[in-house]
Amino acid sequence: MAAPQGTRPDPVELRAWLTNRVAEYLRRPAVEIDPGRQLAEYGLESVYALALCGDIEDHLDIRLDETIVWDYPTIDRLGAYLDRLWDPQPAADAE
Amino acid sequence: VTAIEAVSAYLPPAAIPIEELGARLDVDRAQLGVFRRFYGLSEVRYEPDGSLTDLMLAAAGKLTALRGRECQVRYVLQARTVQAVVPYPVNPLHEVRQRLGLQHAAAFTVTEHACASGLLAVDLAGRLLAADGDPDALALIFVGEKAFTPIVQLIANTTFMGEGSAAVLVRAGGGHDRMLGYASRTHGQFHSSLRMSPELAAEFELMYLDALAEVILAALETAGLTLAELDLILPHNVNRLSWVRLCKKIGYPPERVVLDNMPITGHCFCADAFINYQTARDQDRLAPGDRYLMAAVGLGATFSAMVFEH
Repeated sequence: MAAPQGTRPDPVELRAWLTNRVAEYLRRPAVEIDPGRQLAEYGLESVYALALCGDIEDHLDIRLDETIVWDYPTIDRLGAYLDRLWDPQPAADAE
Repeated sequence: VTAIEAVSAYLPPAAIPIEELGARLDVDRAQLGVFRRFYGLSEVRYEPDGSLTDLMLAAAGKLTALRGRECQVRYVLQARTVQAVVPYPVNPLHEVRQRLGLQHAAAFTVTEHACASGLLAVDLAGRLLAADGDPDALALIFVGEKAFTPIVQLIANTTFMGEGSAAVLVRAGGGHDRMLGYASRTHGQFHSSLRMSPELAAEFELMYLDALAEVILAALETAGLTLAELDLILPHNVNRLSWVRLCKKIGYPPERVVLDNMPITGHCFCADAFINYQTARDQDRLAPGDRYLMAAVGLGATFSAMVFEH
């Protein structure tokens, strides 16, 4: 995909934002969400995984592959992938 | 060889936006946003004042290939997802048989494969006709039903149901639209269907793409074809994303899946692949000799795929 137009997000802030979104969909406190654990293991239904994808698109003003949450199934991996989008040549390491 | 003689599809004129349906069914905003943005769902068709009999007759009324050949029809089948749709002794299938002048034909309903029962009915009709041995005999199959209660208007997190229908004329004599292969798998551990526990529903979601891919490839193998030789897929209209992911998984171009009806019909029970057949014909997307595959998944859970040569 083309490099995003908006400002590169701070990785720490982005991870916190992702954690809060996931916590909201899971209806659990954010402190209970381990960013290294697969979202599916928390019981995040696919419809809310997609809602998260839409939230990221809106938040960062970017377009994403709709399978991104399956390709990068933890908050850490998702955050790292999103951060690399601002690199000149983002590398792909989807599982 | 079982073959499709003709198909006619009917979509009721009333289009209900999914947001309106969602409000009635208490679907949250996040889900509705995903349905429209990622699933490609926009509206569904309803015929509020029409009965199931009306829905079937509307499809039959467009089936010009039936006219003048009523005496050749030996079987009238209704393939349904829902087992009980009217109070006893009302019988829409018998009413339709009467109205079409087909009283001489045996009439029965097939529901065992839920939304995949349409393909089962095609296979069954072809087998019955072949066993009878009359090369001119036909079977008439009806697919599509009323989304008449909340439980059949929504599959949570997945799709909205609509009221499109189709009438399908089947023969056993080969020729155009010959069936080349059929595969069907029932994964009985999901028999609780819409009442699956959250754990079982999660398991179903995890195996869904693998099971669908497996049955598609199995049907192709039965047909003696490879995926590269498949010209078109006529899918179920559950949602667009499930097909995009399936295509990515098996390496099939999504532009060769007829997804055009997804935004305007939603999931029409057993009728989706047949409605999409009509669309493919209308859009000249099927040339003589093209190989196409109809796919359906019924909760319960049955995965089915049927390959034809146009």
